Amino acid sequence: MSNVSCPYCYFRIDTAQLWFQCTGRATPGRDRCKRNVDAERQRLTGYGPPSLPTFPLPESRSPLAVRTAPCPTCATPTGIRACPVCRTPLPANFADSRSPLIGMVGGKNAGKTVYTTVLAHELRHNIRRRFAADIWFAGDRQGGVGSVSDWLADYERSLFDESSLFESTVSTADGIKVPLVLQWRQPRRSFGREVHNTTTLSFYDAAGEDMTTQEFVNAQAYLTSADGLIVLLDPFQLKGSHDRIAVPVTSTRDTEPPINVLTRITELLRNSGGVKARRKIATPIAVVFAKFDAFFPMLGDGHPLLQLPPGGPSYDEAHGRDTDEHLRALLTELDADDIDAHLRSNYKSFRYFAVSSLGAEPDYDHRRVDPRGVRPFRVDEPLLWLLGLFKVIERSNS
Amino acid sequence: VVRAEGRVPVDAEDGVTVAGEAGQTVCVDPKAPAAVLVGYAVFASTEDGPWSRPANASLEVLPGVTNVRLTAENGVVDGRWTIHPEVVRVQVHRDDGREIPTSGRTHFRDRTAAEGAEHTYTFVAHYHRADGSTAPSAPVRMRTADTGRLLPLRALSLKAVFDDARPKVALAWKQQPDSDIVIRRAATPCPWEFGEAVSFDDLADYGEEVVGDRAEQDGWCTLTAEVPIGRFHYVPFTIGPGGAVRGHGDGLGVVVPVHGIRHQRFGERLTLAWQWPAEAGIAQVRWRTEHGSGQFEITRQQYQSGGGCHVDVGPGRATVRVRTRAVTEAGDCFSPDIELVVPERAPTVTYSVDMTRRPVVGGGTVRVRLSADQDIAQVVVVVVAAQGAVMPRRPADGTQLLRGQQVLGPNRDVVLTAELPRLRKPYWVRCFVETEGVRLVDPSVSQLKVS
Repeated sequence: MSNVSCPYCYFRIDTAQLWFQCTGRATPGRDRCKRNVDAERQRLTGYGPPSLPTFPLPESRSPLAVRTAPCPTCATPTGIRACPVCRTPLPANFADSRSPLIGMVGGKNAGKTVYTTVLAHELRHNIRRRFAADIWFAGDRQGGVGSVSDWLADYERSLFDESSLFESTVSTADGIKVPLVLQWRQPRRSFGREVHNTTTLSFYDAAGEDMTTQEFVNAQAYLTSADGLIVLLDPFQLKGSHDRIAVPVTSTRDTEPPINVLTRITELLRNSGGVKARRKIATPIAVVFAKFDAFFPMLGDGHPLLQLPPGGPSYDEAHGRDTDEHLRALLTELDADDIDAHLRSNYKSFRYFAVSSLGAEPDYDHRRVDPRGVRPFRVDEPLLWLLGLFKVIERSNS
Repeated sequence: VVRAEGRVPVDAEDGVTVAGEAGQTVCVDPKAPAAVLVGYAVFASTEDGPWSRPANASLEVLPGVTNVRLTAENGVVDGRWTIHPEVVRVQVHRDDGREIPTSGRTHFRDRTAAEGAEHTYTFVAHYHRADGSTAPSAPVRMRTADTGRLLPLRALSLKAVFDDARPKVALAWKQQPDSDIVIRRAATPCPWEFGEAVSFDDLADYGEEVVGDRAEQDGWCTLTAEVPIGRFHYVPFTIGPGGAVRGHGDGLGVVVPVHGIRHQRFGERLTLAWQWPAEAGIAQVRWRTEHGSGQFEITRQQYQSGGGCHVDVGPGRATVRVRTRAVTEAGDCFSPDIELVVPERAPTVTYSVDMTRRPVVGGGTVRVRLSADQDIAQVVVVVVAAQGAVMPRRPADGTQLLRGQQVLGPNRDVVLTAELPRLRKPYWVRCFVETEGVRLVDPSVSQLKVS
């Protein structure tokens, strides 16, 4: 038995007690089950369309895990598992896999949605190849308008094919939004045999507006359930940036210092987790300097932060530590070492990352990506570091 | 193709370059000087390779008169023609041996011709050589009955043009007064021979007419037109009232090149980025450094999923050429090269730090080994130790352990040794250089930090 967070409602659930969902197929002599609006599911996840009925695990004295069960209404056997709390169907193998929930947070205009889109694109192309992994998006609210595949495909097409930026993510008044759920299936050698481990990853991309007040932050249920956080910092908001790099005019409006967002998240994690004042928060936190291409001219060729990590199917720990230390120095240089002091005081495990989702400054006024295309820079490292901590991938030291 | 006066060019730089396009077997030199021995040399090369030995030829260019038009009316024959600008006079003889006086160099009026009879006139253009002698051109004969005969176009010059990222071709030919030239573009070779008469119906079945902007200058007509990408045959036809005559055409592949190419170095790796033309899906990338060269192809899809085009060129100067490739029915064709020269990285000093610490009492010895990727006559190196969680960013952030001028080179490592003071963990030992234009690359933090 293991307790994991449901990737849709973020409540902790026992994987041995997952519910089943009917397949909707007819059986001889009985009508097929009909789709109905599940009020509980709607209340907890915001999912309104009719869905097939769910039912709890039938009682059994067998010590073996139950993998299929007949629907009590139509008697059709089903293996589709569902969250016992929100009744949302879960990805296949969810019960057998590790399922860390990764939260994506950051201030307004930090570029979270662009980052999520580019990261998803990288996962589907380069990361998948690098780790010889099968990566696919699952748990799609059963398709329909607003499904993950819809918005992700729209965003990817917008960025990569049409070279245009999309509008800011709209805040969700009740804190409910569709997460990006993906499954990572990778071969591993175990006792001389090749076995496949499946990991379900769930990303939640919150609107930057949701981070502007403590009350909003507290409404973000996923934050308290997250096994790891990726916090995007907008480097244009750091105190010393304006003197050293070209900061777009649009980035100087309607923003606030990144330390404020961090402080609110810390407050929430401390309160919800009951973390004592003397203790540090255990949730690992990847602190990401987004839009890092703005620093390329300042740092110059050959700077350690512009060195790409070695390839291969692992996260390079030594390279990650180097990046972490050089970014700590850069934070100090930019008079923003209050961020480091805050993280050091409150978190057991955190690491800095330098990424650029687009690789070049976009035209903010016309909302256009550089016409030479999207050129992601080290966008995978925060996720790989977290996956290394969760032991989904291996860690190496170059 | 290189031209020189009075001799044959001996190398590709020895004269005026007349043409320099890949894959062409015909070229037109519209500016060849007359009455001078002119030498031409044709050199060939592979991509980035040296030029071959030349194939050469010499000749004295003595152009005859062109575009002769004779009109016979009421027993008066009127003649007009076109001449090379260096012609000094034109001699005209009628078929009965009589010399016909000309008015100027381009016109005569023969009032002595027998009315209703057919006459042949012979035209010889005369030039002055540099030595003062006179050089006659080959005679040009024209019968009064020949007037109105369609003459095929003898040469057509083709050039791809990329003004606004749209594929265009500029077609140029020597103007023929009173004749209408039409160029047709087709994927297949022209089925008729040079000079063959073609009916309008047959002509309409061969490709399509090239339509665009026409401009006339110095006796040359240039037609600039948008064309689809790919390789096509361009064939000129002289149009008459009852049909057309095929002239001499040529094939040309037009592919729009990439534009806006940029680079960014990430260590040894170079990331190239460019704007793809709408029609291109494949780019060929060729690169050359002091130590090697290479080439590969990248598709638009690979470029997009890879986040640009990546080439491992090392730290030195690199020349990169990118051209797009189009696959057409008539074979592959390439755009012109877009060249990017990536300057070499500044002289770079790398170092390693080895600390021997004294237990209990603290302190110890620090050894720093400096290496450079190229010769650096003098570089000022400062070794600094600093306490704290954040690495020192400048020498003033810590205690200076060592400072000195060093001479470094690829095979000239320098080892510096200094006393390490007693410091509270975590602490750092880091090097700095104080010489303009020299870059210092830190080793792994595990060597610099003690925690």
